[in-house]
Amino acid sequence: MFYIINDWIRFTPDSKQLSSLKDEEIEISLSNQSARLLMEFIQHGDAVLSREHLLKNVWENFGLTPSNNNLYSATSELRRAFISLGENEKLIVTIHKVGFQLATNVTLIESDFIESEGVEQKKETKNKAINNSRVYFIFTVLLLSLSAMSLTYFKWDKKIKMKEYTAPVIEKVGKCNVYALGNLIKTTKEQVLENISIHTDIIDSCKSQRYDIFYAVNENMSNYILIGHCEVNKNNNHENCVTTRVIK
Amino acid sequence: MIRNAKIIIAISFMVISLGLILTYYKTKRELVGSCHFYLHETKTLTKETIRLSVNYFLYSDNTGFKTEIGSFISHDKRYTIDRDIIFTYSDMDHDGVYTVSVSKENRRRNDNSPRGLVSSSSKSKNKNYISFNKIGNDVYYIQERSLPYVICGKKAGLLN
Repeated sequence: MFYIINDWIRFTPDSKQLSSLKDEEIEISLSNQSARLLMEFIQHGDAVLSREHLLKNVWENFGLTPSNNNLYSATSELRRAFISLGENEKLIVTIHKVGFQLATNVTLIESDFIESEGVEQKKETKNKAINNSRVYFIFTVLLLSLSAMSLTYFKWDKKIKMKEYTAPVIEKVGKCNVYALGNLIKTTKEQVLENISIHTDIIDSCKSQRYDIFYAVNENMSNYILIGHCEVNKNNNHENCVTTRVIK
Repeated sequence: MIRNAKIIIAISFMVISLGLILTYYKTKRELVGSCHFYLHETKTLTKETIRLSVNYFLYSDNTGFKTEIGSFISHDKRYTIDRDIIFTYSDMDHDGVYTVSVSKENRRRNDNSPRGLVSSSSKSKNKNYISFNKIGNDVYYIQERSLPYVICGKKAGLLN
């Protein structure tokens, strides 16, 4: 519950606060005696209230010592508060030798509905903001994922596709290993070594140097032999590969 | 409203940046593979011998070239081979078999080998199909139409 004074000044008795509806950031807290004085004015509309009436209802009834000084001080605080809120007109008028009057209209607002509506609205706005944040967050995550995937795809796509092939060792000669590339069904181990000896001189080199020798033949085209040999260095890397192709 | 506008601007910036980065990576030309081998080829029936030192280079824009330096001996007559062969390669179906098409052959002045000499997969204008197998540290087995073609190593010759 609160009151609207002069159509734009809000007074909330519970919090003893005056605020401007024109600028929600301006808020003024009243002292207890000023808040009670203002409440007394409000309850009597635009009636002129005598000093005695005010001193009794604002101070004496509350167990406080009534004095003119207190009354002037509270009136003055209220006037300053209205001026601070931006009110140019004199809302509290002194009636000479009689008392004081709140010379403006006051409207009571049962604020429960409005406040709950405000809370709902705030909640809705907050939820909307949270939902928006979630949408932006999900969108950003999706975008970043898409970027990462695209970059990975382009990087991966550029690489040469290569099958890993472990060739079986069919013979060891000196420091050399002889590997078969593909299945040798019709070709014996002896024929492989014989062909290597006939077409290359690598077997002699195996006494002093380590080589890997690769033998491949297309057994459906027995006139085609491939013998490859590479030096194997200390790090097990292959160097100086030589391919001997024999087409009979 | 201002907050939304800022977010939209930020997202637009991210999308444009992503587009530029992807375009850069898509069009950037970099070496994706290279190897070297010596080739000794003997055709006993026609008494022809080829001895070559070959360097292979493959680039990310699906182009490549190889250098061939060596000799060709046919019926006791010796020829010099010294040329660069420029080709394109692709693997549209991503099955690891690359289609290779020769686009240009640059013969050096001292190359006097006969035209039509077939020393490699990519000599003729026809398309060839090659696949790569890794058979050890820095050593590759290249097949041509599933036939054994060559053993190729990382280190040697010009690649040292």
